[in-house]
Amino acid sequence: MTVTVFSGGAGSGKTYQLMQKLAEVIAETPLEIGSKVLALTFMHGARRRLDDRLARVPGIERHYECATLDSFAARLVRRWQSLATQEHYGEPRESEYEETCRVAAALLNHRHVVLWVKASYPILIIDEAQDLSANRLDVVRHLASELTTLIAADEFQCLDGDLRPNPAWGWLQTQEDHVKLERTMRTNVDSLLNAAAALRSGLDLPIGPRFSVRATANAALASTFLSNQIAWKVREKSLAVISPVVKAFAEETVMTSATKATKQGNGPYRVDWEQAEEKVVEALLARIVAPAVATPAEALEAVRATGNQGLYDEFANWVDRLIRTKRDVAISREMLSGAVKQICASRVRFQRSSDFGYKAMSVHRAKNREFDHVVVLWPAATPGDSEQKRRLLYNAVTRAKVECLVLVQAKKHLDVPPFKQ
Amino acid sequence: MRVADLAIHNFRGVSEGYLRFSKHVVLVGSNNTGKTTVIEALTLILGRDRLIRDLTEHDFFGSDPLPDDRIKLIATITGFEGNDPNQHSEWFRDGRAVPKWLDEATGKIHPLPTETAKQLCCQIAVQAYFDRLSLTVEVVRYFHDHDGAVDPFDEDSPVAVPHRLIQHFGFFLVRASRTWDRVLSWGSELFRRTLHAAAAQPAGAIIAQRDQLRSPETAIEDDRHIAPLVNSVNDEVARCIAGSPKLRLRVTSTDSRSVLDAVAAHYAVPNGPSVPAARQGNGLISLQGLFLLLELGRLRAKGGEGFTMALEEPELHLPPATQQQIVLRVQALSSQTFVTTHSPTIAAMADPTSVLLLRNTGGILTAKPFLEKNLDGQAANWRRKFYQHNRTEVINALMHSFVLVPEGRSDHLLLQTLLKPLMLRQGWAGEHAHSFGLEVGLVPTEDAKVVETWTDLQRVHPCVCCLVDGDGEGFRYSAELAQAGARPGSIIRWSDGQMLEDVLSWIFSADPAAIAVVTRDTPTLADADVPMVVAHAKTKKCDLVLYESIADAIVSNEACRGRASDLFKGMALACADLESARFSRAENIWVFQP
Repeated sequence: MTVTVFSGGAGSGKTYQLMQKLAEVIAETPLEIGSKVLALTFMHGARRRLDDRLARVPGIERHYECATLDSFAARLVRRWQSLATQEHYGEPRESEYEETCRVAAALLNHRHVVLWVKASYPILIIDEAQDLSANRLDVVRHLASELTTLIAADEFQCLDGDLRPNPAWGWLQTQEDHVKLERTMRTNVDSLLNAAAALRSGLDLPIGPRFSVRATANAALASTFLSNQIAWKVREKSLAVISPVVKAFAEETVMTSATKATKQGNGPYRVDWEQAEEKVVEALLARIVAPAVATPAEALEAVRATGNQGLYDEFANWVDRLIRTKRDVAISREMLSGAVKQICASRVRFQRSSDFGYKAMSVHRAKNREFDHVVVLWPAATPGDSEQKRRLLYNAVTRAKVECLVLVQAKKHLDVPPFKQ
Repeated sequence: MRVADLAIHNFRGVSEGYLRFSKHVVLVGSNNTGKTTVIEALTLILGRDRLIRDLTEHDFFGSDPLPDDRIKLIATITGFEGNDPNQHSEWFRDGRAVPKWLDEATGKIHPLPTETAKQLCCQIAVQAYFDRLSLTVEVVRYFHDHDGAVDPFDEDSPVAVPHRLIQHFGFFLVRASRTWDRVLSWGSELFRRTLHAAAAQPAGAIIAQRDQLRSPETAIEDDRHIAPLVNSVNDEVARCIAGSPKLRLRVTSTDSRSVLDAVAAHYAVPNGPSVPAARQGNGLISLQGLFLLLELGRLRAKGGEGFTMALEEPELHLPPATQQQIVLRVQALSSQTFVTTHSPTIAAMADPTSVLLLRNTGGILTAKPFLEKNLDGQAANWRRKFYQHNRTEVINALMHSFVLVPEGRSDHLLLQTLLKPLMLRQGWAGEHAHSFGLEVGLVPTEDAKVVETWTDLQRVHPCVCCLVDGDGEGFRYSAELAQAGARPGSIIRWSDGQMLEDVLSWIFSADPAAIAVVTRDTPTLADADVPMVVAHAKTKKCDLVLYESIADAIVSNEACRGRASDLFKGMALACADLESARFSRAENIWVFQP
């Protein structure tokens, strides 16, 4: 029934505070048998990281469930379907996430539905609440009316232009128990702290010993900087190559570093892209060649031909179940891709992407993570207004604990936001 | 907690069925209507794993399930005290059941409480399919959230019902095929559970027995016949292995587990050794088994746990007086009971609104209570006599495939009196009165309320026929019945101007000499001929002595007996809407043809 909010910039220890507070709450009122902490996040990556953090909270002993908000909403809508039908809330398909959340919020407007959740989950944890859309915020608000709710948020880290003004931020500011965290815990490197502060305030970006910005007109030049940085600075530490737009400039830079050594003899360094889940699935589906309507044997053969053994095993299970439970099985392209997506989604749910080694990723994927070194690739075609660009760069720069290098494709951009006021 | 209703789809002889239950249900119906199917369905939904039998193809309607055929059973559980889901979070919360609200008047289930839907409930479902590759039936039990299509064997993964809740509900079943002699031993789960609930494990006695077995007063190996053999084995072994242990022969493995396993119930007999249970008559053993079960019920009730008892055919192995006693005890101790029975006596002693008459028409199972509501002071006199005084007979009649409503009490009595000796005397071939006795149930119509009785009974029975006289009254009944919606062909009428007694003339005309038995037995009818006896019978309605002597006259004469058999066979066929030499159809009515 109480809401506690932690807000503050990147690396200010919001998640840490969240876990501390949770440990306090549990110490005060231990969880009853059968009840758990419910932690809701947005992406599976964030879910896994939060999962790891929760596992270490004293007194919790696996009495928590970490889910994406969308899957929680889908479950609620599925189970309360008869109420949703009677009240004409609509019957969204599970892939219509925003709609599903709207219906879930409508259901949670009934107090006894909230109490039904509370009986299993007396405590709710929300990290990165600035990313809540209006419907998702409604879900959280209704839950917060009964559940002990702990929330972390930073309005400036919201990258979705449609969420400005930020609905969640408006609500969070009205909460009495709102702890503002001012100190950055992630790094004590002054230049990085100054850069982050400047981006938040919209000032000129100050350069310092461990924070530098270079104009690199083409991928070849950028890759030289990248490889040298790895050779001279990163070495065995962790590195993230982060770009707001994963297209030609960023991709070529990373590829060049992977194939060629620099004149100084640095490299080649292989940096793998962490791809968005949908992209992985799309690429996989493109490799599956099957008739429009396939027999089970044809479908199996088509998936086997991809050489992805893990996928094949689970797909074979799916086909097997189909044969056993359905009459005259014919597998359409739609069924096949549906099944592959399902399998990939459930594998993503359990995969752990580590933050060690060298990786390349989009700003969105980098959210909520930390690396020793960050190299930001800033293509000429970075979209968005000045505010959006500041937020993108802020999210990239603040991932760094030790040092950050920004490589800007268009030199003239150095005179405008986010680099100049 | 109790089961409020049950929906059956595609299970055994039932393709679709829906039943609503009161607190103490008695299921009545002719063979193969689905009494056992209902009990087995409840067992699949609420029974602990041990109670559930493995399913096969035959458990699917039609016995040949295709991959997408499903058995689907849904039960509504209600009776949560206070009707507040928050007070029963064991049942109602995320990861358990979704609360719903039952309207007890209509049986409808609502997602939110309303003025009339006030009973908190949840629904539990079972689905099963036959796996044609592994040749097994896969079963899942889950919380039923909504009536939309859910295939638990496909992508949807419904929420399973945890073991604890099933245990908490406490569904116990005594099947018709019972093996009571094993009930009173540690091999029986029932026995162990009762001991556990009562905290009555006789540990001290068992350990004492074990110790006795370990060091018996007279050891087997010391017997003078076997001792030389044992000793020479010991000597031989000692030659090969130094310090080898000596052979001992002990009853059981002398640990408490094997002592428990070896315990067998005995019954003390005066002046003799006790007799093991397996050698006892079934009556006593089943009584002890039942009382053990009731003791468990009492203990569970005391501990605030549910006890729902399904008892198939309590009439088995028990004398009638005990049957009633048992059923009453079971009902008193249980949160809910389900009793199936073929005994009108048992059905008649239950609350008539709780007696469900099952009807299965082409796989569609329906169940109607014997009475919709209990008779009050306003109830007509004939109704009270019919439903209260003659309840056993009425229920008995309803257990048959066809129910025949005669015009009055005397017709009922005369037909019954004729039928009884006929069924006893008939041979295996040629005579067919037995088909009438087995298939047609006669009700004791009160006050000539033919139309009213028919109207009442057709609500609970699919095939109710009426038997009317060939006079003005009879024609009036026929017309009224037709108007009330009686199915064409469901009315049987004697020939014009005739009533049942006139049919006696036709029977005796096969051999008029047969009447002598009647005239000899009845002083007032000395030297009377057939017409005189018939005329006398018309004035002496319900004279049981006269009827018995007429019946006696008919069965002791072969020719008359043949005609009487023929008559009953014809009536049975007419009830089934079939033509015979004795009855032919005229304007939707089967009319007797002498």
